[in-house]
Amino acid sequence: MIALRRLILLILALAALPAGAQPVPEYELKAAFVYNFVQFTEWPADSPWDSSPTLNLCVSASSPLSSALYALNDRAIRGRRLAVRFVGSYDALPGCHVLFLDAADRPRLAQIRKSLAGAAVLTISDDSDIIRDGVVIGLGLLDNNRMGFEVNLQAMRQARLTISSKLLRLSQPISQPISRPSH
Amino acid sequence: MDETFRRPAHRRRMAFAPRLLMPMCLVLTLSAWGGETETLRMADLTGLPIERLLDLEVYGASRFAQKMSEAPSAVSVVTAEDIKLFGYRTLADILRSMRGLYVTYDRNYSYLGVRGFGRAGDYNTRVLLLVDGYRVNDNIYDQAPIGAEFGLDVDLIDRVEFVPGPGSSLYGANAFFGVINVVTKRGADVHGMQVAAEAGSAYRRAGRVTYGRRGDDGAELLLSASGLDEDGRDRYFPEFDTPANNDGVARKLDYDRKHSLFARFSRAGATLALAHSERKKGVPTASFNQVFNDPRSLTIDRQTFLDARLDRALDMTEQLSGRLYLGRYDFRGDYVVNYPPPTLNRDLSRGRWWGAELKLVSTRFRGHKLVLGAEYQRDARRDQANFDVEPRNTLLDDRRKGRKYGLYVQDEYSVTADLLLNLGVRHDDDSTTGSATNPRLGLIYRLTPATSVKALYGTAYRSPNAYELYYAIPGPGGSKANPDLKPERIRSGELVLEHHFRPDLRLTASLFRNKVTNLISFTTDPNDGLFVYRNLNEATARGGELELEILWSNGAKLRTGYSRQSARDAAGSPLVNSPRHLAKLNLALPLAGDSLRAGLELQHVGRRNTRAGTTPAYTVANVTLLSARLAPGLELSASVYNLFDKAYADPGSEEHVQDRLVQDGRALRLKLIYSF
Repeated sequence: MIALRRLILLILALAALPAGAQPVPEYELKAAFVYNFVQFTEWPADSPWDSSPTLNLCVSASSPLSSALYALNDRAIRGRRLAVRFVGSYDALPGCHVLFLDAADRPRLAQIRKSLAGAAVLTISDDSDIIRDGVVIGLGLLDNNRMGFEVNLQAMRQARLTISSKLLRLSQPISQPISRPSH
Repeated sequence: MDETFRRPAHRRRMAFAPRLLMPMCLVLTLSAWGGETETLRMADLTGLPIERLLDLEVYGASRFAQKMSEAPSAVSVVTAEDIKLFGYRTLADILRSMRGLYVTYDRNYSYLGVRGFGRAGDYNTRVLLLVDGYRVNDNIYDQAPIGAEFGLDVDLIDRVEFVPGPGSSLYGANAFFGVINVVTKRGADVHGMQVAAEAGSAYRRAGRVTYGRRGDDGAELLLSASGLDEDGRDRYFPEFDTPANNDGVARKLDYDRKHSLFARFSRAGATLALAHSERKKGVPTASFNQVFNDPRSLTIDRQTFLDARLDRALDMTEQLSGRLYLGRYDFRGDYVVNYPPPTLNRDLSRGRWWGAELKLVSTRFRGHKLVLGAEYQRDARRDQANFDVEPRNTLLDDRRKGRKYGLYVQDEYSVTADLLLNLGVRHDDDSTTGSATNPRLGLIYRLTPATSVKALYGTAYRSPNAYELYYAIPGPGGSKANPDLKPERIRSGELVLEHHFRPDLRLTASLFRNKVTNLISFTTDPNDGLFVYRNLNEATARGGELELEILWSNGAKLRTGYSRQSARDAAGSPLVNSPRHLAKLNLALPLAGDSLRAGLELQHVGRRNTRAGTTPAYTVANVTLLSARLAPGLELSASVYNLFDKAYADPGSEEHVQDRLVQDGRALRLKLIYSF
């Protein structure tokens, strides 16, 4: 029992350490980033952006982020209403302005690419594999417990999107494994 | 500790649950208090400028090693990084670093103990071993090979997950105490040629050549061949210390040889994997009443599998996976029995099977993740033979076939953003032992952004295997069949708490209770002295686990845990090979940035009962130094296992004369990996 008691004391001691500013939950923070990305992105004039009354954010319903993203539903962005859509089929993909992909989408990535086929879609992912494969914006945790993002300029041009220089300035490489010290 | 032991049994059992509940309540209180100060929720976050968002500290759920399995359980994960840093040589090394697990080695095979159940000699039939989803347990012994007998080089492992608790609701038979999920590396992880060479104590030599690549079209290829040759040391067994038995020394009989091949190709959702391995082990223990120190005692395990998988997205919400597999397992055991005269007796087992699985994952209904599956397996051969080699005398020639199928459904239902319900059930039917239905129920509730609670309940089963049912040879050290064996069953309940004290500090606490009925046990019939398997009433294990993980910004990492369990049979006596206490510590330390790192490991296993007495508690320390950038592409690691040369022993099993089997003292290993 001594070992257990020591462990409890250790836990208490660690809990009592000054924590600083209260950290925020990962998924909610990622959703807030997505919200910002949408604000700083311009779609080409021939995209469904002009004809659609809503700005469609697509995500798979099984994504751990789906709940956090759904909280963005109905928000106004530059006069449009943001509609979070749990995509039902690939045919519906051209209606997406924003597509969030996570690790679960890996096996169907080839199919998704085919159905995107150069469409003006802002693809965002938090999965290192998918980011490496090429999405417009990659989101990831950095070593200092902060969130960072990187903009893939080539993917951005292919999707004919314009992303504000403010966002580009804050972009930093995140696709390295996070366990590696940043020196 | 003695104080606890003197208490009457009922008191003892009551006593420790509150002791573990106390810290759990404490943590709950702390986290509830933390929840009030948690004010930055969604509304606030989207209102912040992006520069502020970049500056916010985050509870990174994905920062800690994430489980990929669908089980609602407190999963332990060991990654490729850990395998390198802690110098793990076998899957057994990996597993013994995990919460609640311990490994027993009888100098032939390694056996996994889970939460107080460590059935030495059970060939790990009560854990299911999956490699990329393929079921490795063979169809004769249902053996989950975890020592050198495991066919995959650990260098090819990307991650190992251990899912404790009953998994029959998803995987059917053998997912009894838990499921070991091995995920292999992909071509992109190796990227080019890689050559590894190692040398170690007991004349250990091992090597590996691997080629990996990823094409522009996303196709990936991995090819690898490995070899191991360990001469082993001469082993002294006091039980055999007579002049006629070479004074108890088994000479040159602890050798371990293996070669293995692995190939995998994947393209556009289709994967083809082929694995083959052969392991030959000298048996120095004279198990099964053999003549001591006879150089002919050995076992050979040969395993081959071909696994073809196709994952297809039907649309954005539905994914269909199909799998076709072919498995082969051959065993040869050479035993020297003194009839008299001393005679070479041989076991030959041949297992051949093929099967298919179809699985649909659907997220069509909002908030639900549905998994529907069907599995069919045909056992073309489950043959066991035994004969004396010279003069030839057949003692057993048993040929069996069989088939089994399983149907399962699971729903992961997000009731609210913070409440997840996991319901699953699977029905299995086996041509030999009949049918079984096993449910699982899981509830995961996020109390605060930093705290979640899981409550789990489930059952699992294991059918008696061909060996337990049909193996029979007459004579001393012989066995008899028991075709009347029934499946054994487990009923399990667990409460898990996960709490982040800080984004880089996580605590996992759990309380569990496992009750096994109809336990199939290896025993000796007192009437004829023959080994036989019997359904021996029941056993119950209960206990608790605490684990703490801390990450530092310089790359240092600590994982430490303590578990306490008590496993008893129906009469209330503690089970054999069941430690009350287990403690683990794994510390990863960067010494010179990325170029030099150290992995320190401490493992404590409490006192265990043996058949006749006890083995004392012990603590073993292992240290590895890893230099990643010695030269471009060159990586060197040096490991010392059992650093302080601690003398310790594992309990022997029914087939051993030895009540305790002494384990290895200090051992060294040097390993070089060159990538080009």
